[in-house]
Formats: sequence, structure tokens, C-alpha cells
Amino acid sequence: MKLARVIGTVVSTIKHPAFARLTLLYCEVLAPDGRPDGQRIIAADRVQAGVGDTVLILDEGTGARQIMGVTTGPVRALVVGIVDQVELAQPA
Amino acid sequence: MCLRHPPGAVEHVAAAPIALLCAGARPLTLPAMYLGRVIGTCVATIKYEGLKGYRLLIVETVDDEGRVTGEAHVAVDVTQAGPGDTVFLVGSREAAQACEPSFVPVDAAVVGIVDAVDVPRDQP
Repeated sequence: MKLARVIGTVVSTIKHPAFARLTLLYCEVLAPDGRPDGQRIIAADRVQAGVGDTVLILDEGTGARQIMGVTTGPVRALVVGIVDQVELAQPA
Repeated sequence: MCLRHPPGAVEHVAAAPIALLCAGARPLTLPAMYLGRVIGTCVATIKYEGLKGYRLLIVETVDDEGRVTGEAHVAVDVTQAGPGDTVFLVGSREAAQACEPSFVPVDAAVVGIVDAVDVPRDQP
């Protein structure tokens, strides 16, 4: 799973049916110390996250389909948690 | 499926034979789901059976402001997107799930045409 910050939303009308009624969030992936690592990805929202939230992204297709209760569908990244706090034993 | 293209050579790349697209290919690491822009189409007459009937697009990865962030590559299209469209893609194994049947050799699929990416500029 990845730590990320939601920086925006992606609006799409024409899309694969697997994405129907899913909110797509535009996220920047974070290092554990909270700094962006440069990668920006899209993830479908399952926890009502919003812009500015630090979130937990599940980046695995089988797990994502299991959560959505489907057996097929090209969905891979899901936002599955809103992070309150990350504590590092030795601050970077 | 990977290709490198110099800026301004889009027309040339789009018209290139598929052998050129594969020449000099190096491992392409694609994020799970990402933004891209269609810069061309790719025609392959001889291809694996499961790929028949699917359009192949040449896509470059972009960010929310349209800046190119990665290499151009070939992706299967299930949305009837065309050159110039901003799209979102699924990479790696899940890309094959966009196709029917899903046991096809695909590592990137265009799964949606993007109308807008809304990124508030006054974020902390």
C-alpha cells in the first residue's frame, strides 16, 4: 500500500463500465516522511476522501476487485483509508 | 511496448512501423492508474488473437497541466479515444482486464476519456 496526498479530482464521462459511480482522485505519492516522491497516480475512492487528505492507496488489482465485489474489471488503485498520522521512529 | 520520441517528432512516430516502436525498448514501468494524452494510433495487422478488434493508441504520460512526465508507449483502447484526447489508463496486469477475454498480452489500457482534472491551486 502507498501513502499519498489527494491533490485533485478527475472527471470522465466516457469510461470503462468498471469505473461507473466511482470518484477518481488525482494523488501524489508520498514518502513516509510526507514529502512527495514525484509520482502522481489516479485512484478510485472508497472512503469519501477529499482534496488535501493524506490517504492510503491499495495498489493491487485482485484486492481492489475483492473490495468492489467484482471478479473482473480494469481497476487497480483504490483509496482505502484516510491517514490521521504517520509516526517514524527516527525522523528523517 | 515502449518507444522514445524526440519532441516535435510526433507525426513521424505515429507513422512508424511497429518494429521501430519496439527498437531500443527498455523496461517500461507504468504506474497503476495514470493520466495520458493520445498522440497517435498504431496499426498492427498480425497480432495475438486476443488483441484482434482492439485499437492501439500511442500515449504519452502527462500530469494535470498537460506536461509530459514519461515515455510514450502503446496502449489498448476500449473508449474510442483519439489523438489529442486526455485519457486515463490502467497499467500492468489489470490492463488486460479491460479486454474480453481478459487473458491477453496487454500492459497498458486506455479506460476513460478525461473531461477535466480539477486541482485546486490554493492547497497548503
